[in-house]
Amino acid sequence: MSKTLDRKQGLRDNDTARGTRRSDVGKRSKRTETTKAQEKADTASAAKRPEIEKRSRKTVTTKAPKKIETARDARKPKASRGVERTETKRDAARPGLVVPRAFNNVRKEIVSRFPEMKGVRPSVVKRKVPADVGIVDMIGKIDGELGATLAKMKTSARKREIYCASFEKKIKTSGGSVLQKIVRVTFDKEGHILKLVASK
Amino acid sequence: MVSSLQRLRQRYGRPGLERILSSLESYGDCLSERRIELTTAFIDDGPSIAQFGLKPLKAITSTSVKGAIDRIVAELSTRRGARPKSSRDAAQRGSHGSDISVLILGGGEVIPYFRLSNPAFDSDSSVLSDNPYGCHTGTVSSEKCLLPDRPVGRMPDGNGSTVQLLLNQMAAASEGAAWLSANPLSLQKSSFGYTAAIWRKASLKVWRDIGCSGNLKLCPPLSRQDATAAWFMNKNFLYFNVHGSDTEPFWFGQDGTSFPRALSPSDVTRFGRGKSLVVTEACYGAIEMSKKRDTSISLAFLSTGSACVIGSTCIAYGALAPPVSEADLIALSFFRNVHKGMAFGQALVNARAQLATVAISRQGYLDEDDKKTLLQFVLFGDPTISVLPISAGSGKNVKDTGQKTGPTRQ
Repeated sequence: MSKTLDRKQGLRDNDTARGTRRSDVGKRSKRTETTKAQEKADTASAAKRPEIEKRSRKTVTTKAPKKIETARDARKPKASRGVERTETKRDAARPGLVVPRAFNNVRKEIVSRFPEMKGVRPSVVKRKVPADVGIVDMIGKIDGELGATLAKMKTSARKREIYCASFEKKIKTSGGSVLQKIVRVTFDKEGHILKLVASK
Repeated sequence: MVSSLQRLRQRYGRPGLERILSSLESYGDCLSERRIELTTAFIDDGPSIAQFGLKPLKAITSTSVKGAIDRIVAELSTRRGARPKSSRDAAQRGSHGSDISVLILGGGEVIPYFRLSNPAFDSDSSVLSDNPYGCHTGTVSSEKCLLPDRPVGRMPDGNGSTVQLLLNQMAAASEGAAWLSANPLSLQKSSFGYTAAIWRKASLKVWRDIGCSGNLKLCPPLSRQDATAAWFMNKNFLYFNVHGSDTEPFWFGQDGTSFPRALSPSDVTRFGRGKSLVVTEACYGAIEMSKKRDTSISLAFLSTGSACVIGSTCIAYGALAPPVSEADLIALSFFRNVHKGMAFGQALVNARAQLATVAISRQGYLDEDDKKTLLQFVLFGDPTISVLPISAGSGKNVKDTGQKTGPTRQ
């Protein structure tokens, strides 16, 4: 399964550089200005397409590309605030590109429960499970029993590969007020919903 | 009690400040009747702060105030000889931990909140929190201030409010504390719950688990037009699981794509009369800066006699249905702790620990939503107030639970 994911991750990267062969991706620095302009136009048009998954499937790939680090990427912290961003912000709005089939089911489930989220492009991040160093000790200081209970527990869940998708939408109420509505879903790579919360 | 003399004087003038000081005096007398010693520290006033061996602060920032509070607490502990030798000693003194509570007099424009980095990726740029004031000395960060062990409360004054808002809160703390801790309460008769229809299952779980059965109202079909005095009359425990906004004064219900207005500040000022404890899960339910009682429901409750409001300073989260999590779990744990007879401040401290425990036991770790929830809930009111213990499920007070409520300091 992880190999499949890697391939799909590769599809995503290749998708950004649409129109170029995968083997060419590593040679971007040698491109002419014309090629870059063409790529920009392609990327803009690609962003408008609703069915990203279909496009991804059409792309022929042989092996995963090397990741190119741009100057902008270098400035970014690699793992900020306990969450490892797997994609750039623009790409993060393309859920199908992370775990396409699994996430489609998750998205359908969200829309069925929250009809107001229909058409919303969620941002998806791969969740890096934080270390939580000291939390159990702290709980033990406040309530000794709770701390002791936790200390005995196994933390096998920490090894799972999980993702978090966030659906955000501003909703205008009948009275004219505007409410920010957020639905956050945590799911695993098989598409099982582990946690579903919504903003109050 | 910690505040800034200069900022209170700037906001209310000399006459207003004198009224505050006079109220503080009578408030201290009421606390001493409850065997609680009130120690007042105006951190920018030389004579007031000198009693702790400190110099007045020239610049009032969250960090400088925390530094002063830490030193004041250390000084008070030393004087009492109550400083624990180790964390194990602290834990052995009971699950209540530290017995010194911090009360901040004034809103975020008098004593600033900490602006902590937002652990969740949502539209809040930061999380306003009082957690660091309850944490021990050390670096302040979102990660390190998730679980404060010192109870912290705040009497906010919003912006543009008269001095009466602060005076009302001190009066409510004095009268409400005496009343709540002396009168047996019935959960069946003295509770009121109001939830957005979409949260009905989660709210019912909270409502039933704390021992209530009736009076949980849904919005829709109800809305603010249906609010009557009967909703709040003789109700001491008020629970709200509704939507909120930082730009709107209303709380909202929800059913599908319909978001009717559930409650407004004017409804509260018209009908809210009581020595109540209010818990709201609404987003921005406890936002008070740049607000006044006409534009903030929490300030409206405080101005009409509520002894305590627990709410969120930013976007809060919760599950649609059981198992309850995040804000629902904070509300549930808080009510449970209060019903056991715990003081409000300590009940919130323990509720955070219980949320963290449940999250870790379910997931194996604290995720971003959990962390944000731990940071965002603040307590408005006196953290030392408590109610007579109520037995779970029966809704009746337990007259003799064997619990001891020792003297505490503020």
